[in-house]
Amino acid sequence: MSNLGFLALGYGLIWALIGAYVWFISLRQATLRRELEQLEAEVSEAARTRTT
Amino acid sequence: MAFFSQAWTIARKDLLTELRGASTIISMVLLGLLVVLVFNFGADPGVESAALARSGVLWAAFLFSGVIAVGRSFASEREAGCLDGLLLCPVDRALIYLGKLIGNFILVFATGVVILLFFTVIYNVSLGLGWLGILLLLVLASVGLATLGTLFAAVAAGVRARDALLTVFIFPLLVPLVIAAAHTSTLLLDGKGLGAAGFWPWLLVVYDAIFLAVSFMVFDFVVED
Amino acid sequence: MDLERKRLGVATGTLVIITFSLVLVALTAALVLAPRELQMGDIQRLFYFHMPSAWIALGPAFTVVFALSIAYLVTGKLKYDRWAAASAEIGVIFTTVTLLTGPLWAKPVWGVYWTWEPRLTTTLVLWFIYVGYLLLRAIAGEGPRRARLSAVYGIVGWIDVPIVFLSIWLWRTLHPRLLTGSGFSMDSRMLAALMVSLVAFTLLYVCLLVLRARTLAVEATLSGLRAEIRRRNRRGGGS
Repeated sequence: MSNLGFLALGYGLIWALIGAYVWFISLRQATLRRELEQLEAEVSEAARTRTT
Repeated sequence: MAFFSQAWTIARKDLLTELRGASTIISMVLLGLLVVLVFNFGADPGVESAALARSGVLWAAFLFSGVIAVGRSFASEREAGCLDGLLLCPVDRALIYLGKLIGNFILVFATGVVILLFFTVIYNVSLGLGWLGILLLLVLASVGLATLGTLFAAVAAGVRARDALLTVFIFPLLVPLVIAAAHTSTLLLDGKGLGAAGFWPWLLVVYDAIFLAVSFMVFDFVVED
Repeated sequence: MDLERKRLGVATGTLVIITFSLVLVALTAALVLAPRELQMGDIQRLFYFHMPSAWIALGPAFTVVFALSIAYLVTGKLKYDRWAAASAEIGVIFTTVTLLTGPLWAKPVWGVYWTWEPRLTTTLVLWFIYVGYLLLRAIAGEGPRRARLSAVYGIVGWIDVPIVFLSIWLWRTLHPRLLTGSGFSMDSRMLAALMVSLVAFTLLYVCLLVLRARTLAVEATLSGLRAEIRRRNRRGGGS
């Protein structure tokens, strides 16, 4: 591999890794947010049915 | 002095349990001997391997068997629920740690000696006064391994695949110990005295001292209430 | 259950934008603006990200884990444990980057992938310690128990790293034939590019830390909520 090949590979790996981590965080955040909304809906539903 | 006699009681209890069960000691020793054996199958039987290679084998065997021993010391307690009983005693946590540490040290050191003997037979080692040096080295290494091992065995106890995990946690932390011990023993195996090892044994001493101190400070937090 | 609904707070958003811009600047500086090294050629440009990564991994990231571990043990606040975990995760990323770029730089320059260079070797040991920390967290369950165990490991690990470096360095100086001249002369433009990269990566670390800690906080709130709901259901139903 030429010098530039190593360079490209190196930079590519760095940003692939960091990018993947950022993507992982945002994915996690989205999933958690959805779960939270779901949970809140359940709770308010349960509260309503209990009072009737 | 009551402090030490209490710790010694704990240590003695551990050791007696081990001796009666015997399975831990046997598996430790066997593992150590096997490591020495297996490592040699990769080597050319006719050629005498370099002192450093031989040292590497010795310490690898020592580490693997030592970590297993230490891991077991907490596991059997967890399983029998003895640890809770022990914690109920009106005894300072540090004492429990010291007791377990002493017990583990003796176990690890004794196994180390057996491995060393096997090693000297396999490699046709004749040391003369160098024996004192290697035994001292074994003591220092056992202290280091027992210190960190006892601390993390409490951490990993009760978890499946405990032994493998404990190895994974501990080995990176033991790097200085391995380097120092291997270099000193290489010199001793080559016939040079302990003096030729220069700073390496001192590194071991410093390492042991630092982690003994740290682990005593921290052990309290490791054992659950 | 009054949680922040906005996608990202204003402060965090600004941080992300600044970080992103600075990273772009650093990239430009490293790839375009910095001069070509005379002996090594363009491959030397990896250094502008290899060195800052190593610095972040060994310095701030792990030290934060250490400091927060102590903070947790002293105060018992799980918040510290969460931030420590986030720092450890990011530390693994930067350590991995260092370990990948190091050999990629070494191979074309010295012909070998690995040279047992003390800093790189210590980084390898550090990688194992970090991964051990994360593995421990994966198996230890959650809450205070996991926090305690992680904290102990974080403290012991951090104290060990300088000793590891010392022993490896001493080991290396015993075998001089392995020593490779790692130096290259840096002129002021290279130094500037390096500084920009250093700042960019530090900011990147902080940015990732904040983002990750946020996710962990939400996770903790969620499990707390679930537990609360379970408790209420048990009280409401039954009997």
